[in-house]
Amino acid sequence: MQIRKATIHGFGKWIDTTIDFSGGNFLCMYGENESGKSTIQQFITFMLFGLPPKKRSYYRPKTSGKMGGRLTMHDHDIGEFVIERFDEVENGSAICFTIDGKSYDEAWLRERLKGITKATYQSIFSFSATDLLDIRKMREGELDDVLLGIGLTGSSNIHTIEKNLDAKTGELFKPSGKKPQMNQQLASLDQLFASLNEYRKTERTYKDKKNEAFALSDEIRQLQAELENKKEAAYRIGKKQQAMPIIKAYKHEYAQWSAYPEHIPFPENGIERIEKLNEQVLPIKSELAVLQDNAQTYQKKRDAIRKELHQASVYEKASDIINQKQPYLGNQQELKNLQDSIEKLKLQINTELKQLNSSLQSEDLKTIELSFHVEKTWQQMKHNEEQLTVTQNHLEEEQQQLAKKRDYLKGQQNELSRSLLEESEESWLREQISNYRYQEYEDQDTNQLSGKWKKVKKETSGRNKFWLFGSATASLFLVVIAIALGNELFYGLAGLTLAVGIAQWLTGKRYVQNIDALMSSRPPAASTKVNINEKLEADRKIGENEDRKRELSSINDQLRTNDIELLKCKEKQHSLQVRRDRLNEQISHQYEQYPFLRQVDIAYWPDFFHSLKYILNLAHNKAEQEKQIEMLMGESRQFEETLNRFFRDMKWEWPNKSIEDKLSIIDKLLDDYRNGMAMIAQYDNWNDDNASRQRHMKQKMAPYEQEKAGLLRVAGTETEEGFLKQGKRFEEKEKHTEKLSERREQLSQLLQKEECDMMLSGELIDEDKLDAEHELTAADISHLEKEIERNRQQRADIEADLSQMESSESYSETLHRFTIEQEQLKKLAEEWAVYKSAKEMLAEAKRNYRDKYLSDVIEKAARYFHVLTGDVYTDIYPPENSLPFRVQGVDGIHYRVDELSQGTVDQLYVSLRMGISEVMSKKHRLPFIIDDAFVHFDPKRTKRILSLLSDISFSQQIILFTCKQEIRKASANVTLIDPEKSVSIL
Amino acid sequence: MSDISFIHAADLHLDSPFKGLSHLPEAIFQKVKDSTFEALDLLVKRAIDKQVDFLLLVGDLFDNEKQSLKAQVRLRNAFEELKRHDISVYLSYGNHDFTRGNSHPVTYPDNVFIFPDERVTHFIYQKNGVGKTAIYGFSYENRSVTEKKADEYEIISGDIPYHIAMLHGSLYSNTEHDVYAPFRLSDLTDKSFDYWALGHIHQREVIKKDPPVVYPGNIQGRTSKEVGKKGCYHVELSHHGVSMTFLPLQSLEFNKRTVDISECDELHQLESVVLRTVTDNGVNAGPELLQLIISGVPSKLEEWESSLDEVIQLVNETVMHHRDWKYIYRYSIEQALTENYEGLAEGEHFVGELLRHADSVSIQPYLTELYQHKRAKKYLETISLEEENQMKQKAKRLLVHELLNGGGE
Repeated sequence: MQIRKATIHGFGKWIDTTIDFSGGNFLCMYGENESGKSTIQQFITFMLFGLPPKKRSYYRPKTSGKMGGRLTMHDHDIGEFVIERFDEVENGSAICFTIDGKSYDEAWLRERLKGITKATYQSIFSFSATDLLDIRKMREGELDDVLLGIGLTGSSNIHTIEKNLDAKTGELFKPSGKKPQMNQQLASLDQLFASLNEYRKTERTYKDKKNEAFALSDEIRQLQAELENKKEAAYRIGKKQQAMPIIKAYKHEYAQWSAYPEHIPFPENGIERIEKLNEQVLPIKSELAVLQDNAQTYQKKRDAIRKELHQASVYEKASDIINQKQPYLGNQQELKNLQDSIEKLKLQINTELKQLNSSLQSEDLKTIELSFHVEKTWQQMKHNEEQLTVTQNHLEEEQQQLAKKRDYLKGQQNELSRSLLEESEESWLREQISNYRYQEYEDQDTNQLSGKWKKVKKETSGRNKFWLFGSATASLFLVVIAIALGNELFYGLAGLTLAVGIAQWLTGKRYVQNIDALMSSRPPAASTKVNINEKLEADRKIGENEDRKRELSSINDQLRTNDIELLKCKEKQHSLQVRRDRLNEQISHQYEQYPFLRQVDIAYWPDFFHSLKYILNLAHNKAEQEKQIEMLMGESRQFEETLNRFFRDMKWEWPNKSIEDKLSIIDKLLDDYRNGMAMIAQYDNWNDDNASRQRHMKQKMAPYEQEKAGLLRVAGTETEEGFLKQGKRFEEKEKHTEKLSERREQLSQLLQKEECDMMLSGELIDEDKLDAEHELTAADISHLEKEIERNRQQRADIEADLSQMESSESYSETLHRFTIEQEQLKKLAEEWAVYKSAKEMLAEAKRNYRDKYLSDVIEKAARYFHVLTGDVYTDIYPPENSLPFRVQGVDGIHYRVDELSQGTVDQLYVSLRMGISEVMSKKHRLPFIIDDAFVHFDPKRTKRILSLLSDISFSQQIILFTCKQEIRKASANVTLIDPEKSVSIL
Repeated sequence: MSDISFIHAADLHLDSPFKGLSHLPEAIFQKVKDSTFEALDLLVKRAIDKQVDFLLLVGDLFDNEKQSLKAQVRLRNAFEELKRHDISVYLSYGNHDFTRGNSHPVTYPDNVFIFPDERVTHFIYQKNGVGKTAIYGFSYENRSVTEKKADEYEIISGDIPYHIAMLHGSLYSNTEHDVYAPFRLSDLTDKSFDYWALGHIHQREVIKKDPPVVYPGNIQGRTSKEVGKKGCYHVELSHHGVSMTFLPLQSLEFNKRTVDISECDELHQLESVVLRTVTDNGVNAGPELLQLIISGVPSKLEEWESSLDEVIQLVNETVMHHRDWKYIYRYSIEQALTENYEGLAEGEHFVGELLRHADSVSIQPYLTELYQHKRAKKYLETISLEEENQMKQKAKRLLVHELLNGGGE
């Protein structure tokens, strides 16, 4: 394949430039530094292989909008075709146009390139001076491999890659290393795995532990059941031990109990009952004994009293006497009283009589009889007398009063008669009044005319009137006083006052009249005129006169009445005298009948009657009492006689003794008798009572006795003593029985029934044996308790373990961690596997490739090397077995690469590159682009290489870029590259 | 108003370690470690909140292989809590917690009804003294049950209104998982159960709606494949039909996210773009373990590949301490263009030779040094073909990259 023409529309500094590569198979492109040689090379690669966007934008011309161009190629099979690439068009991908006008895409182009990519192209068919710099950087030891790599691939990095891969696999994993990442990972996995196994093992024990816990729980339950049994047994033994003394006591008691007969007849509570009976009978018995004793005493005492008493007749007589004693003594007392009373009466009568102060004596009294009406008569007379005297006095008084009144009235009459007005004067006054009235009538007309000054006149006349009336009133007042007091002076004063008033009135009136005269057109009739004051004065005087006349007539009436009353009084005086005469007649009659009344004023007769009556009563009483005394004296004498007779009969000493003594002796006798009799009666009573109570006691005792007998019968004994003895035995046996049952009760509380029966019936149990048994059981219990405790502890431990396991995160955590680390290992392993595979494949490919091409490449390279070294070295030997890269000098000596000079190594490198390029071009036939690769070569060598390249160029287009004049000169077809002048072909 | 309400969950895999997580920071590690338990706690809480009648747990509550006592103790505690709220639990064991493999005899409270063996039996759930629901099921006694258990489910006669079948197994058609107690959908729907409560498949799926045949999935994602929300179904049965509500329970989510860095010109921009992608998750609030796929221009990806570790670490540092923390546990570069190895391989040059050689060899022999290593093989699983291929591809890529770029210019 050949490059024919490059049409650059825009690429780097190149814009719209066409470069022709058709001048020959070996082209030399000359240009100075910075002339754009490399850019042209880049353009070619861009056209062939494309460029990434970043690179494309890098080569975008600064001055042009376009980037891209065309490359005209010639292929042996297809012929000429054009590759067109523009940055803008389809992301810089290629469009190929063949000569027949067909267009193809990038893929078609790639097919034409037969697996050559930009990279492979650059490593094989592109070769620049800078490549040499790389080789110089190689360390000596590596040079072999690098050269071999170059020999195989044209590229030096195959060695680097191998190295890197080696390093990376080594970093990741070494089968027996420790440091590599995976080895470390393995170590930590081992650790995790170990602990995981550990935890797993622990968790596996969960099941066992759980079973163990169940088993322990079962065992604890069993042990507990056993423990319960043992405890029960221990308890029973303990009870038995407790029961031992009771059993002993029981047996002892039983022995005693057995000594008693089987049956002892004895009533229920016999002793108690009999004692109770006795208790009840005893008081009755003792009471009975007391009663019997009392009865005897009463008998004796009664008989003794009976012996001391007289015969009954004596007591009868004495009794009679004593019966009379009281009336006798009463008589005596009455006698005495009567005598005292008589004396008193006598004294009283005398005193009364004396008080009466009459001529009456006590002896006279018997003759005086006062009948029932006397008192009334006397009373009436006294009353009349008093009434007469009162009436008399009254009348006299009335007469005096009437006379006095008559005198007064007479005086009044005279006075009034004198003060009356004369008849003439009166008639004059009346004329005055009538004149005035006429005048007043006339005045009414004049008044209307004199309206203007009327007011003044009215005032003046008012004042005048005041004066006139004031004085008139004052004078009237004074007249009244004068009349009342009968004082002349007042009359004078009245007149004076009236005169002053009239004078004033007249003055005023005149004044008024004067004015009237002045004002009035009509002269008044002054001469005949009666003024108002005169008229009023006349009125007043006539009124007064009339009053006096009326008063006088009233006084005359009173005088008439007075006379009539005086006549009546004289009439009454006369009738009173008649009544007085009649009374005096009655009084004298009384004097005849009762002379002693002469000494007594009639006014006291009623009182006198009462006193006299009282005295008469006293005298009468006295006479009565004297009669009674006589009768009583008779009775006393009779009684004394009887008493003396009794004394005689009794032959008692009697004459010196007073009646009272005698009576008291009899009284005593009778008292003694009565006492004796009473005592006897009492004793009899008591005796009766006693007897009845004795009977009662006996009745009470009877049922007790019966019961007692019954008890004795039941006990089968005759006597109470026997009964009690029997009772005591019975009680003893009872007590034993009771004790036995008590013991049994105690035992039943301690022991079960079978145990109890067994222990009571059997031989006495050995206490020591019991103790031993007890100890044994206690030991068992403590052992069991310990065992249970131990099991419980064990179970608690297991449960704690279980709960710890249940809550443990360790296994889970480790498992997760382990898994993740395993994943990490896997990831690393994959990474390692990739590197490892790469490394191995690379090595194998390299081997294959070497086998296939190395000899060919070396052969070609040897030719170049031969030429380049100027025949100094004839051959190249690739590394083989343990032998490194070697060259053979003309002298036939083999040199190792590290023995060669730098220049020789460069030449070897170039030779190898050329060699592989040549080998590869057999298939690919791509143009070989060399960029000043021989810059360090001397002109001789340069010439040689150029001629060599020229030879090669028959089969492969070679484009040589250079800035060396020598090369330019040595080359046949030279194209000058000058951006200023574009590109010209020389 | 529902007659019966219950929660259907399965595949709790309590305390089972996660797969594919390596090198977690301690805080994240703790969260990951506790996540299955947190999901369990939430399950209990939901059951209590919803006042369900009972809870169905259809197998694989824990893993016998990695048996942890903690798993069963926590399970017991959860059951005790449910008992306090008068919620019954019906559970069957599956292929991971088969009865003969359980070495921890933890006793569950009496509100837990366990299907004892591989015979299909039933329990009657009583509500207010009346039999309301018959619940059928069986437990794995051994690691695998290959019989067609679905045939053994027969509805009991009697006056029970509802019949629920619990079955831990998979469809015949499912080839991704070990096929246990296999069934065809028709095997189940031919019988007139009101609800088929399935377990075993970790991916949630309502296979059929009427009658419901449901895989609730696991309650907490545990591998990079188990992405998204995980939880249980709250089911209410009544005469009118059935209502199912999915209740998420996961404590953290596995998710896969792609970040496009073609906009980035400089390396430092990468961090913020990644951070944005990681945190900009919209509705997906909650802790997340993220697998990041970085896409963009290959040349840049290649250029920045070596710095990506650092960038991811920086992003992780920023987001892993939040309450709704995120953690990128793995990232990979999207191979946007399949590299032209075919072309290269044609070349006469060394790379061509290398590629041709690589394609022709197995890498297994190279790796015996590690995988047969006495210590290492204990912890390493043998490499699958797929893994081998991946490794080889990686190695090829590495070599080509190194050979062509390393010594190129």
